[in-house]
Amino acid sequence: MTRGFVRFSRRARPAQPLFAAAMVVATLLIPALSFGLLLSGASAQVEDAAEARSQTFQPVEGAVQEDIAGGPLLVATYATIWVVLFLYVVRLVRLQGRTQQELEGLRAELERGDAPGG
Amino acid sequence: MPPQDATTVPSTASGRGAGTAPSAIPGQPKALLALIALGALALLGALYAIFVVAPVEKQMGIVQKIFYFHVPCAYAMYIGFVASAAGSAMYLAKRQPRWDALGVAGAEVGCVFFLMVMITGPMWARKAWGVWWTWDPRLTTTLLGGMILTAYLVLRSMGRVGEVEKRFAAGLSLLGLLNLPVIHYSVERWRGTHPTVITSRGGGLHSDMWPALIMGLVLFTIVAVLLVWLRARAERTRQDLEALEMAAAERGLLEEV
Repeated sequence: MTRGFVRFSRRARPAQPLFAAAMVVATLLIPALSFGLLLSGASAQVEDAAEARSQTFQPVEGAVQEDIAGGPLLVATYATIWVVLFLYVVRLVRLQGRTQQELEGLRAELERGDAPGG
Repeated sequence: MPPQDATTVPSTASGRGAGTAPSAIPGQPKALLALIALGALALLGALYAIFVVAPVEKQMGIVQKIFYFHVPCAYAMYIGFVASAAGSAMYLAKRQPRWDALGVAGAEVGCVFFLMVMITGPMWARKAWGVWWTWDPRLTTTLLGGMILTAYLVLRSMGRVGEVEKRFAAGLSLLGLLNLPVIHYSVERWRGTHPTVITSRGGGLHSDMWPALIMGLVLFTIVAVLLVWLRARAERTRQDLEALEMAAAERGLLEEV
């Protein structure tokens, strides 16, 4: 078994550099070509996508016609913004008030504790 | 333990007297009131510019007016995240509690505006793209940024936060800062459906629409600064309370639970 294996290796060895070189070329060339092709395709797609999306806003001419009513979406958006802001301000005011109250209470308590006979 | 003077109260982390309200700092209430008044004026100006001056857009119709609040909300989110990162970086460098307070305030306010962006965006998307959400690069990177700062807030909300947690959270905030350019340039570098109106690739706004956007940006800048200020002030008061509790516990005047 061992001998046979050695013989096989000796026979195969002269072909290895060529095989290795071919593999290196294939390894480098095929992905490079594939990537290049993909890149060129992707680049074209990027350009298409970029061209397809909004790049400018212009005013309407004539009467406004809409398939999805924008009014309710607009009102909901603005209302939500103000509600979120209002709730956050309420949270801030309550947080500040509660912490300040605790701070003053603790300070007063400590002053009483420090006082002689306190 | 050395005897304490009857009038002595432990000093606080911020260096202020324990019972001194942050609002008692000279000039602060006036500046705060001035900022609120300026914000109110900016609000009136923004509403006038959006609903009276700016025309209805040709393709999207009236829902395009969401743009005048959506973009400023995103801008205010950037302000919050940058404030948080600046505070975090300074805290890591100097270990001063006031910078940590700025880090917390910026992160929280940034997340509030992130929430608004995530509400106003889908309202726009429903009309523009027919869906509430799509995995567009800008939407996805914005979501990622919000999640990073949300992680910061979750970490900071876990009871009494130690030095290690504060520093780890500061690192998260800096990571969030690194994501901001990715959000900003995602719309230009990667294909997607998000509008590119006011980027270098875009054709821009109609001249009658600019005042509404500018007033919106002014309004939300004022609101963001105001909220960061108020939140940082509340955090400083909390730091004072915590320092006082610790000092009192060390003196045996307060039982630590």
